[in-house]
Amino acid sequence: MHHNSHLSLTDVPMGQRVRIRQLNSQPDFCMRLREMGFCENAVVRCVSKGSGTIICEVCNTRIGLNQLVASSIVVSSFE
Amino acid sequence: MTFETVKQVRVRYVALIGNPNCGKTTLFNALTGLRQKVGNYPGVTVEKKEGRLTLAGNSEATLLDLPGTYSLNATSPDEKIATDILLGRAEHTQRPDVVVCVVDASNIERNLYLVSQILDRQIPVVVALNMIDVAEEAGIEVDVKMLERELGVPVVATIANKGIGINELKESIANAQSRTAQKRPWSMPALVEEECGELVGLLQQYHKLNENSAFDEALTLLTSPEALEEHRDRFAPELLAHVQKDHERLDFMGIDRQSVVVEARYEWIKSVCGKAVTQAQTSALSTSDKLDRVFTHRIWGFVIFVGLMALIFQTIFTWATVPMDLIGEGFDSIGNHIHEVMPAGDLRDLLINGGLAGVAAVVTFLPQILFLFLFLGLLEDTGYMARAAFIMDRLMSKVGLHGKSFIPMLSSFACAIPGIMATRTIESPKDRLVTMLVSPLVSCSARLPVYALLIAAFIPHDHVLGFLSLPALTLLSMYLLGLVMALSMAWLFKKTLLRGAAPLFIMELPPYKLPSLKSVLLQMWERSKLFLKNAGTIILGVSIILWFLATYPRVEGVTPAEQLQHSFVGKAGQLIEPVIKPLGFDWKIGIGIIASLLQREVFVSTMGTIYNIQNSDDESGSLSLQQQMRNDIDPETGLPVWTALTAICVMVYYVLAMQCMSTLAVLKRETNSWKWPLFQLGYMTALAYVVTFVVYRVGLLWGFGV
Ligand SMILES: Nc1nc2c(ncn2[C@@H]2O[C@H](COP(=O)(O)OP(=O)(O)OP(=O)(O)O)[C@@H](O)[C@H]2O)c(=O)[nH]1
Ligand SMILES: [Mg+2]
Repeated sequence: MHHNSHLSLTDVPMGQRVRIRQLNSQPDFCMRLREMGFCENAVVRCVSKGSGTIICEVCNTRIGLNQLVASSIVVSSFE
Repeated sequence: MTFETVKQVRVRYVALIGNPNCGKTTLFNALTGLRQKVGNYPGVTVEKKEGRLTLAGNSEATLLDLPGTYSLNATSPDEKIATDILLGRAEHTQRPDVVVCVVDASNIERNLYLVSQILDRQIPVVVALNMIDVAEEAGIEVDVKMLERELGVPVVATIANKGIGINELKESIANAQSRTAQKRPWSMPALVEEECGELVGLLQQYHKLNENSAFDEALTLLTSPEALEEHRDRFAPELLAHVQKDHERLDFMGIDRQSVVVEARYEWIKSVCGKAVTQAQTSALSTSDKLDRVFTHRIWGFVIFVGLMALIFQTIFTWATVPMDLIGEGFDSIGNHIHEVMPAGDLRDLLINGGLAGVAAVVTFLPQILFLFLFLGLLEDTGYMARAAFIMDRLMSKVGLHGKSFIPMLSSFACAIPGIMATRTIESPKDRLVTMLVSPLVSCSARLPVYALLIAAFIPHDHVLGFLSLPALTLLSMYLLGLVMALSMAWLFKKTLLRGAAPLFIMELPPYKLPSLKSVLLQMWERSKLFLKNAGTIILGVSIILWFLATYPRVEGVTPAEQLQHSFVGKAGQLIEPVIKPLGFDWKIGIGIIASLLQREVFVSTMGTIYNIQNSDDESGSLSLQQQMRNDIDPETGLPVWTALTAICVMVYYVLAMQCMSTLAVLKRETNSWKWPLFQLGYMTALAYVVTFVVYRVGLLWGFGV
């Protein structure tokens, strides 16, 4: 089964793993995201959701993001 | 991988570089024996620090600890320090002979990204594979020999905080070899490689660049979206035309120019890790994940944060009293001893009322300050600091800043100077400036003696809200007032002077760990040394000067209180009294405020000196400073000088006023002009005056003035 439904990282339920498809932010900031592990094709897991913030795991590290950043990361489910 | 020429380098200058929080400073301390600050959150080190490194054969080298960075394309000021030094762009600093790349083994993929960028440079590299204990715990196993082969540079496994692998690392540094003409291990899609190659050729031809920098420029020109506009003046038109065509071709082929290089590097990293790293599949949540579900929970997270703060202030007040009383008694007996053995006269007065009273008043508060540092150290070392920033992000975004700005504010609980330094991790210059402007509103440890003295003297020891006592609650309110004002002013500045886009917040959250008692105690030790040194120099000096000004000119045949009134200090006090009268302050408080423009603790030592002089002949001279303040009667009105309301007003004034020259000096250094420090001095003093006035008037209306 292969889904191609594209969501943003904000829509991902807790615990689920997704693959990053695209980054939609200012170029500089996209670069920073990539360097911190949020590169296209990387696998991310949403660890927990606060209010307006998300913690996800990428490359074995937990990274905290706010809503604005999370909504600029386009992901797709891959399992 | 083959080396064309293998050459031993002369190792004189070595730099530690790596991702934030991978253990660089711990390694630095282990290698040099120094005690730089270590903490479990990204962005502890924000400036370069040097130390001596003794290598095999007793050769000496300088070791450089640098702020952490995720890549060589720095975006924040602290990262820029690291990358500038590595790329040889820093003024007054030579390029390192050897770079020690510190890699966090538990997070090897992301860490190798920076390594791959550094390997592109022809600079001798040694990789320190740190935190192998953490990696092992997470089920990650690294084949060091294989990694060495894949990277083409020496790799040493280390556990920095236990001193494991340090000697091997020293050996590898001493034997570091130059790496010339090494083939780049990672590769981009064929089309990009081809065009990159062409561009490198053109850049060498037109601009006489060496291969290394030509490759850098070629990558930037190909991948950066603004490259063409930005570099229009720097490059030959023929070259730019070529770049334009390249862009069109890549876009046509559907290649994402921005991400292609990063992806290529990660591809290579994946293949390296595929060979050298084995990771046991773990589906279960780690301890940190479970803790994060509670500590960063949308409701519980906040409740826990506030609860922790309340607990800290409560314990500062209750636990610290025992050692404080001991110190107080110690100083009393020294004073009594001097009193007995020395003949009466100015010298004895100078010693007791000038030197001892001022210093004792301040040093008494050492235990409270130590407790504050104990708790801050625990917050930093467990990994909670980063969570606090994360929890606060929502609140901070309401005022236009993001969670990262909260770390400087938390650091400012210790002192505004490390707070201002910590803003270097903030990417946006405007947000950074706003954070620097408001951080000093957060109550630092220098205010603690002022609060503690006034609370102990004038706030009744009642219990409210179960475990919380009224003094602790007052203290907590002062800290909250500082925070709330900092946030309000940040909001105001972001709305007016320093408008900016909505902040993008991204921050690494390190794993929770048990705090290392050793590093927390070390921090406390360093702090108390600093505090005592300050008490023995600045406080002592100011107290002695103040004693002279409060003792002369001599008038014959009057009481000490009248004598004080006629001294230089008394005259000056009467001069400024009209200005501070509206706040309910008498002239002695005014002198305290003026003297403590230098630093806030001076207020306490000033009170100690002035009251000791005023009461030097009667019985009350032997009472505690608090008692003397409570007994002080205004000779004109016959009313007490101090009421609970006065005490609160003085505290509010101290929460808000800029009374610290060192902070202003640091702000001047960080912003490179006197404009912002002067602005800060002005707005904080005005704010303090207005708010204190309002509090005083409202307090009087409500009948608290008696
Ligand atoms: N378990 C374990 N902990 C380590 C090791 N090395 C460092 N630490 C801990 O990791 C944390 C971060 O260490 P630092 O030395 O401050 O890291 P840094 O790279 O200097 O961090 P920044 O200055 O923020 O970039 C501290 O809590 C250290 O005690 C290690 O090998 N094993
Ligand atoms: Mg450090």
